[in-house]
Amino acid sequence: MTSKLLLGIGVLAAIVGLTGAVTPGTAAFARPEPAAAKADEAGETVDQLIFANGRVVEGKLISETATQVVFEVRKPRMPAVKTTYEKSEIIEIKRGVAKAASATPATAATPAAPASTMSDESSDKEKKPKREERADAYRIYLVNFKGDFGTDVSETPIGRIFDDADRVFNDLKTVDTPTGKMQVVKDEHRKQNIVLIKIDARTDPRRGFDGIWRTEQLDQRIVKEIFEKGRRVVFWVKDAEGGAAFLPFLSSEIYFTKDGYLGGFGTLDNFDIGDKMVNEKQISLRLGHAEGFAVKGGYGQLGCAIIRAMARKQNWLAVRKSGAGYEFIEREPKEEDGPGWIVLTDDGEGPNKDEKALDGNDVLNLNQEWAQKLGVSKGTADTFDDLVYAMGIDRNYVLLEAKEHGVKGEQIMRDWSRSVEQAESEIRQRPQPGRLWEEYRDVRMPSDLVGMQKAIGRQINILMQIRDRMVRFAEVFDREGQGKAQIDVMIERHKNDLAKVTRALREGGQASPGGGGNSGGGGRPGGGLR
Amino acid sequence: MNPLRSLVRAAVLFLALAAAAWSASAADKLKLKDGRVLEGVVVREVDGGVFFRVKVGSIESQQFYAKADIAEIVRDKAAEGAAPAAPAGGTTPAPASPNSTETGTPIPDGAIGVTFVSLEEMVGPYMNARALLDSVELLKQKLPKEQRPKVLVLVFESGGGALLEVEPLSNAIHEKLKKDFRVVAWIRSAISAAAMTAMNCEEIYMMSEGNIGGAVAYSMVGPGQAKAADGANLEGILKMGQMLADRGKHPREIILSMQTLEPLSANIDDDGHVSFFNSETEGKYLINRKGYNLTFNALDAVKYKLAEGIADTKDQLMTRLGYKEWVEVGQFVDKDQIRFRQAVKTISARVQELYSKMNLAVGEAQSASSREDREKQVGRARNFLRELRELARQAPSVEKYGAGGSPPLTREFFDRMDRDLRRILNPDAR
Repeated sequence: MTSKLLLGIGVLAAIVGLTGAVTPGTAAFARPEPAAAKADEAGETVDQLIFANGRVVEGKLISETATQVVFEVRKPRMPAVKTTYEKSEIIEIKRGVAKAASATPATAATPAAPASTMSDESSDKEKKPKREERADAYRIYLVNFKGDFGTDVSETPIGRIFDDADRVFNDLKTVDTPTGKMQVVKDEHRKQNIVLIKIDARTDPRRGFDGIWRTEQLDQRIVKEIFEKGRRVVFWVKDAEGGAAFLPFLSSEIYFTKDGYLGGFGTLDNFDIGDKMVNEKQISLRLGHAEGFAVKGGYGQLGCAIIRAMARKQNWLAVRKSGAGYEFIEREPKEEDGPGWIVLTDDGEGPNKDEKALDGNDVLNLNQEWAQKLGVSKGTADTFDDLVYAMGIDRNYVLLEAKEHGVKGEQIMRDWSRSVEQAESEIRQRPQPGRLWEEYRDVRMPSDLVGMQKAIGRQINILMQIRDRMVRFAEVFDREGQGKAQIDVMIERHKNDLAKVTRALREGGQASPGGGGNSGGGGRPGGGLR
Repeated sequence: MNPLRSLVRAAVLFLALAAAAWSASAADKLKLKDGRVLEGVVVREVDGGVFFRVKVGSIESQQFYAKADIAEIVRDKAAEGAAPAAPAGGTTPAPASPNSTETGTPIPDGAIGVTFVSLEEMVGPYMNARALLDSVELLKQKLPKEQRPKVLVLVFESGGGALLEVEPLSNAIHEKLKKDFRVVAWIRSAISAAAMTAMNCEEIYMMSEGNIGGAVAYSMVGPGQAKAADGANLEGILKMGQMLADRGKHPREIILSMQTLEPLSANIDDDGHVSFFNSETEGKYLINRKGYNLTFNALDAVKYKLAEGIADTKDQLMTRLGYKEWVEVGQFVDKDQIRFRQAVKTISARVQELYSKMNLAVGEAQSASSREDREKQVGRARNFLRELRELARQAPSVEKYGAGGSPPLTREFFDRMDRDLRRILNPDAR
């Protein structure tokens, strides 16, 4: 038989193991310069750069040419950073915007919030006087993406979260476009109304880099929200691993917790399908998809280089301070490159190979320090109050809550997780059969025809219940629908048995159904859960 | 060879997507012998029982009740004769333009008409030259000349597929579509065979998350084992790559690095003109190292002038193309592509299930003790076959590529199946 020549990824589903993915040793890195912009922040106006992707940067315009803008970026409690931007990325430069109208806090000297954690937040809130909600207040819809990415966090709850946010914010308008009507966030609410996603989630580590495919399946609503509807979405990264690590890149606003971690997908070098050229093709196309996240979120060429260094052990990434930002090269720095290079990741070969998985630099994983230095993170905050401060919101915000504002976010996530867990306990096949499979197995086939009819009916019923769970949670358990198809065939077989028994009953004769349950032959589908 | 057997060997187990939709207005009653009365919908009656769909709160479930347990079935007369529910699943078509109808949209003076066609999923069965041309042909059939589009945007989102389809797609684009339209490739993802197809277009635009490349040809030689094309086979494929690049007026060096592990570097002169080299050192900018395969992200595709620009919305794209006023026309073309892909998807998902059910019926027919029973089972098998044939009719690409791992679903294939079933019914007939 001749084999068909293929060009693509459709037939490949290689599972790549997680390597010793590590965070670069922080001891080797220089810390940022002490804050120099503090005094400047006392000024009453700021300049603003408004980017095509919706990002707004505040600070002082230093100079501009026909193609570039040199800008001193100022953030609360952060050193001023001089950065050069391409004008092609900027849609508007606003000069001398009053600070009150900007997102910058009134003063940089506002004391930091108490060091409570998010889990302590309810008690933290109780201690504070209740803020009065101002008309211009920022309204923040906080939701936790916690657990298994693709299971606890999947399409259905994400869709419900954003539906709920639309309901609570009530800030949409319908616009006509050349392709039809669509709903978008009203201009005056785009900055104020924020969906804040705290992420502490990971894809199955066995999927390694290929967790990205799950992310591409479930990110579609978030892409639509940010890029079509104009919803402001901010990510707060505690732990985003494997495929989950790509998701925050969709937003131009990422913050880290102090122990924040983003990475764990540096497994591409393990890809092996038996042919170097095909391996490289598969790696190349995967990187193409991954870099797309960085481009989409506005992280530019450096963002793409960061993704490459995070994905593949053999990729170098060295950075050097350049003006306000960092320049980078993706190879080992040479003498002619000059001094000051910091190697974030080497090729992991020979003497560069790391002995320990967790303290080397064979692949890049981002901690809060380097995420911020490289411009991936906008700031670091462990508590909600610290976070809003870092976002430049100061005190003029309302954290939307379940009781007061009818926010259902946490309930949606919790209910979904519980339902999935419940369904799994009923229909899983390994390591122990779930409750429904146990019940199916325990159906006894009596010798009388009426009893047989009932028993087969019971078997069909149980299979229908399993099928129902598979359909309801298809995005988690049965994405391609193979399990459901197998159940359908089993049901068909039982229906044949039932027809025989019914016929025999009608004719007053004997029948022996061919399959099902303990009478043998019914079997369980080969595929299915875990 | 028995086609039934060959089908089951080749097929991969998939499932039916269709599910009967809950009809809130329908309220059949099922009175059980234990005294319970259930309200819901009788989905199907079979020998020995009924499938009954009940809804508790927001949760629907379908259950089987044996006739031995049923006292009475009371049907809702109002629901009888209602239109069948639409099948579940499938891509939702884009919202219709307010200015657009199935039959035509007047294009105002000074505005340009444009049609967007999505090309998605596997090249061959889903991204298919014949299906594309059939869909675009609808423009001529449905729209008067003055309402036809001048611009045809092919929206790519595919991870590749069958090399066999690349040349037909290339011919369709180059020899047919380009003659009637300004053809633009707009890329979310064009990998492998899809990248080669996109290279036919002289104007390429990227979405910001877009990627294009990774066009190494290979075949599977065992479970989890691939082998890249080599020797004369590879030479032929590389020549085809050159032809595609020439047709799209793109540098041959780029497609070579996408098809192989050849390096790529470039120089960019003061006018922004880019010259390429399949070498690591000749050009100032190293794009692809030797031993690596090339896939461009959106930024690099634009930087090195493979793509003209980045656009994330239709409006952005049309602005980049230089049209301030434009009207989307012929949305039925894309709907037709979506319908076609859905048919392929359905058939891929159902082919094994239909075969398995058909095989069960055949088994029952062969062991039936009476002619009546045999006829009944063959009738059931024919129903499954009819369903398969109808699906295949809606998805012409399955004649060439099969679906869900099946062999090509040609007329001969179905004729053989019919013959086999006739033989079961009349063992003595030839």
